[in-house]
Amino acid sequence: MTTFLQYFVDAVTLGCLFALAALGVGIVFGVMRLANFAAGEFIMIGSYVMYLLAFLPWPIAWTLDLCLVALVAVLTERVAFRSLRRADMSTLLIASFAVSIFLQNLIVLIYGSRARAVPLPAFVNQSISVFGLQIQVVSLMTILLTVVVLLALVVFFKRANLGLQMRAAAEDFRMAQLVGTRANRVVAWAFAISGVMACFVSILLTSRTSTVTPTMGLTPILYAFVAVTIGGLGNLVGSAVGGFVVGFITVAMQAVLPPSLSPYRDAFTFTAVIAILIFRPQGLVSTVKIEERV
Amino acid sequence: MIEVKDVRVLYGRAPALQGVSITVQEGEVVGIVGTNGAGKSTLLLSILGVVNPVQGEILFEGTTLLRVAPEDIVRKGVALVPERRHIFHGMTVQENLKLGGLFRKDKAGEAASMEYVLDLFPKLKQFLPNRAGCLSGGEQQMLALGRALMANPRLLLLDEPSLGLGPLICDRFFEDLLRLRDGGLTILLVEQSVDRLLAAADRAYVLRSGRVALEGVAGSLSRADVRAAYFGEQGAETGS
Repeated sequence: MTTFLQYFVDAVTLGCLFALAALGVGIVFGVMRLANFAAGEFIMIGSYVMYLLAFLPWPIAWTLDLCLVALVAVLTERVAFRSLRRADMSTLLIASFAVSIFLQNLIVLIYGSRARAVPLPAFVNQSISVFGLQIQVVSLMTILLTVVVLLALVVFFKRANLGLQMRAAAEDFRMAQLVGTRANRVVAWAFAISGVMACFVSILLTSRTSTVTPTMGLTPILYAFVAVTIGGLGNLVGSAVGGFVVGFITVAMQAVLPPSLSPYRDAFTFTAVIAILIFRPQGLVSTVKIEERV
Repeated sequence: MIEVKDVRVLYGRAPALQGVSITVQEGEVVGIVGTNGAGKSTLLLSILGVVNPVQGEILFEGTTLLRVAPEDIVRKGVALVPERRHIFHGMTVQENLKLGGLFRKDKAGEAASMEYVLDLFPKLKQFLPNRAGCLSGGEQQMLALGRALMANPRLLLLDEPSLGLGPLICDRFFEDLLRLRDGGLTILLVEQSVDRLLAAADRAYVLRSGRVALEGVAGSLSRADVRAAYFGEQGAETGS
């Protein structure tokens, strides 16, 4: 029973991490129909900023980190994507790869390609015992942060004027403009939120691994896109649900696969994802097609 | 209030408008009629800055609308009820209405507009918390018009409001439009139904192949004249 609960906590933690990453890419996809693979580099930059600001008290360092990554995200939109806003999806996708490669190589140029150790506050690596379960503080941080972020996003999208405008832009961008929504402002905020989400992921991820490399953003962003796809493209609730589903599948595979097959965990995980998409090609939480009353 | 002067619009190399000039005075209802592809919607989209003319000038209250972003044109006082309504289906009726006036600085004015819209369309009141996509076609048209009115526009553009509506609902909608006109709102109405347009408009333009084929005071235009301009002389003969 304890082992099962331990796996459950691991699955929730991983699901939370994927959900945060998926929400970040899902928000930009919703507003701009851009599959922004450069979001992986936002995660990587977040970790390098943690590495650089490790001399500061962690609350200050992490707050600055969030602001800086949000700024980088907004700058990529301004420099790379704004002029392509009316381009087709494939052009945007290629542009996002270009931004991703550029940022990755910029970091390689400055810091080299080898991994660097990130000094972390002492509490991060501690564990606490709850009903016989050993739960790492970083896992609790992940779960708590995800709950807070999800609640904050629900309130933002339901109550805030900007949230309403972002939902409108996600549904019909042209019409949103024609009711007075400032397109540049909405897209810039979508990127800023995406940057903040990526930075949360980078803080949580780096708190687990204590290292940073220029390619560290690739794996979480791949999982994030898988989560967005199985959750239902363009649906933020779906993105979060997809993140949890991918997290649970990954941990389940880790639990059930024999040691000889465990190196192929990801292959089994993605097979399960493909199976889900065969049965639910529209995603688990597809946008409801609403019928007119007659 | 608005002057469109010698406007030419190209889609690729294909001309959509070829030197179109129209004027709308304050408080007027001006109708635009024409077949599919005549350039009616393109004219509205040009006024709203969605498509950019390659030639000509568009003036709203004396200032140019060329190279102005659509959201800024809306903020200047031009609102659109688009073809097929384009309401935000996944949002509630209340959120749709709120979006229409969200850019306004005068919150008291915004609240007054909401009251005005709900007085004009009392049916929307009962559906405020419901998803807009669940409304009937007629109710969606009310919502689209209500959303445009939330912007407190000085010029209202309507693109084929009768499209997809049953005759009774359409009659009701045009009655609502006439009430708005009586309230002093300036309206530029694009419509395929000649009878409805001539009944509602003060003046009318007939567009054919991107050009103004006929213009005049609505009451003085005969259906035969409009039909002739609408289809071209040959079409008019076969159509009558």
